[in-house]
Amino acid sequence: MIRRLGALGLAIAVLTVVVVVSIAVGSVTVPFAQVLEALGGARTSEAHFIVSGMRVPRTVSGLVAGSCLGVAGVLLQGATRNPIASPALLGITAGGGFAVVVGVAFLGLPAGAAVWVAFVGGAAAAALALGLASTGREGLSPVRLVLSGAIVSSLLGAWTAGLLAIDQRTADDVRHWLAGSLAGRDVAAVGPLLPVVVAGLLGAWLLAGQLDALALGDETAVGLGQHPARTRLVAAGIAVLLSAVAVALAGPIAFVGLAVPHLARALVGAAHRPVLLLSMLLGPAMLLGADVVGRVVARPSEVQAGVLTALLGAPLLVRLAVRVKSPA
Amino acid sequence: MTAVTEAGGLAARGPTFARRRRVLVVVGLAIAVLLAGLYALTLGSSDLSWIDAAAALIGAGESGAVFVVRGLRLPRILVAVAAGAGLGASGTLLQGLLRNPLGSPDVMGVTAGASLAAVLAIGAEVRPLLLPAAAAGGAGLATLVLHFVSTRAGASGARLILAGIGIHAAASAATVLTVARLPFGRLGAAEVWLAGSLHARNWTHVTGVGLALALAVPAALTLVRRLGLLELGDELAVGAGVPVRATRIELLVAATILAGAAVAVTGPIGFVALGAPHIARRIAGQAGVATLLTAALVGALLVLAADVVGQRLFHPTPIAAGVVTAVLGAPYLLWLLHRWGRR
Repeated sequence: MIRRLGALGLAIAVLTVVVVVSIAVGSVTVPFAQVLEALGGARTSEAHFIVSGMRVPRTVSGLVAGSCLGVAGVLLQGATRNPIASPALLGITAGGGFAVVVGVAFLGLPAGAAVWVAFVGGAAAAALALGLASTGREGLSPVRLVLSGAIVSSLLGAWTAGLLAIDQRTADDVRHWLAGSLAGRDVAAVGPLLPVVVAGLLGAWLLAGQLDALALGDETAVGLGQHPARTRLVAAGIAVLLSAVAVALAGPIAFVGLAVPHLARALVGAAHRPVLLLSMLLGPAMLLGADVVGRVVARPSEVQAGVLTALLGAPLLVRLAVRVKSPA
Repeated sequence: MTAVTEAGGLAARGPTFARRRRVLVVVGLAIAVLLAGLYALTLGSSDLSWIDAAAALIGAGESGAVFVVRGLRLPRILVAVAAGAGLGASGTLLQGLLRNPLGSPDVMGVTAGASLAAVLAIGAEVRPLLLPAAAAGGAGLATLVLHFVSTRAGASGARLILAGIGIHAAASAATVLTVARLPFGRLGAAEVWLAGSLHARNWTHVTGVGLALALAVPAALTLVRRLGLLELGDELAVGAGVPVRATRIELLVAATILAGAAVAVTGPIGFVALGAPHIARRIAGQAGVATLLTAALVGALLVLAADVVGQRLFHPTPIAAGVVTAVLGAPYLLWLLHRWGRR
């Protein structure tokens, strides 16, 4: 219990520091006193424009998107009992991204619909990956499931690139978003999504006990009065929904949903409730941290957060692919 | 291969027929590459007739056409053919070595490693002629990591590919990061290159990739005989007198140089190294040298065709050859995965 509280306190402290840094640091240097003034409501300066107009919105977007990704990762890893599962590796993120490019950029659907378009695309891509993985002769193994998802992702990524190559004008608008960036976010876009996010996080919290039972194996779970198939479906549905929110807010960001649950489990053990809570805090810490590093690493230009999360998370994938205990 | 022929010699004309067919396939593909190249000579911002293009190629005709054909279009076509051949050959070697139908340099992060090294080299302002060497170095590093993963951790099959996908993701991210940090003047070169485009290739590129291929193709052709024995399993290969360890390393080096040189002059052109060996095995069978040659020719044809399609499909908006191969090749990868699972 003390360990859990300690980990929780640590995560809150880290997240607080990252949020403060995210508001104080950027590709343009603004003195901290001016940052405080701008936050206090001084509307005249250039600092106000940079801090309130740009840094606060991207910080808020990063908080929401990061939480969604962290929790979605926990749900997927729990539902599939697969430590390599994550929104990006199951094709959900790429499916959402492709659907948004087609629906919003090419068919002209309103930007507010992005989250639902991403939900449909993400669910379809995950279903394709699942179908592909279950045709195997030795059935559904963790590695095969993730391999199928990764290949579905590369297919959708290639098609997205192809679409954008044809239409250069749309490409310039979309390309930045596609690399997984928090830059140029609008706070107004976050508000309408909040009910969805709250519902998703609440649903995840309620599922935690059932996921714990699932971790003991399907037979034990049935013995405990659970319905494994139903739990899996609901958990996957919520995970896709939360991933869709993240895609709509920050573009297709990979490896946050993979790495954060592992970090959380390393800190507090395998029980789902504390892991969920911790992932909700560590997800935004990782995403915003990557965003801040991206702002300063290539001044005066910026590197998208998704690039840095990939740089951090991809080695973990290599390690997991080799180490995971399961029949190939 | 001789052993196979002798053993099958009793079964009447089967083997001779198969061999004749392989020769036919190789010759036919070579002619197809030649014709496609000639056709590509006639295409561009101003179209020429076949006759004008052929005349310009040998230096006859008006000087404008000669310049366009010999100075702009011919190097582009030669780069496409050489890069495609390198990718096809590299994929054949790697798929055999890793005993894995999805084990191609583009899926497994080898070309991504080459991209990273090439972008770093562009940033360091090395001479264009040295770019293939840098890219081969990056490809080599990625291959080394893969090799380490596959031998030390005993990973095989799906795990190895997943690890390769991880290496690919890391190297790609590092490439984007490097490009973002490039000084403004070098940005254009890096971005054009990263799209996998054959736009504005010149004779320096041809020389670079040509030198690398001249080095690696003969090596690949001699190695591929031993590869056939390796594919039977290490123990049988040792029994047949193949130095397994040395052969593995030589194969890795050859595959790396082939992929690295191709990537260095065109940027990352995906799915050719993956698809060409499969197509080659379908039409030429599993037959060492013939499969390798067929895969190289199929690769050349694919890249050339992708470039022509990219130039013509949405004319006048050009599309990079790498985009064309990715859009068409990605579903093929999905299908391969599906079939691999059912096997």
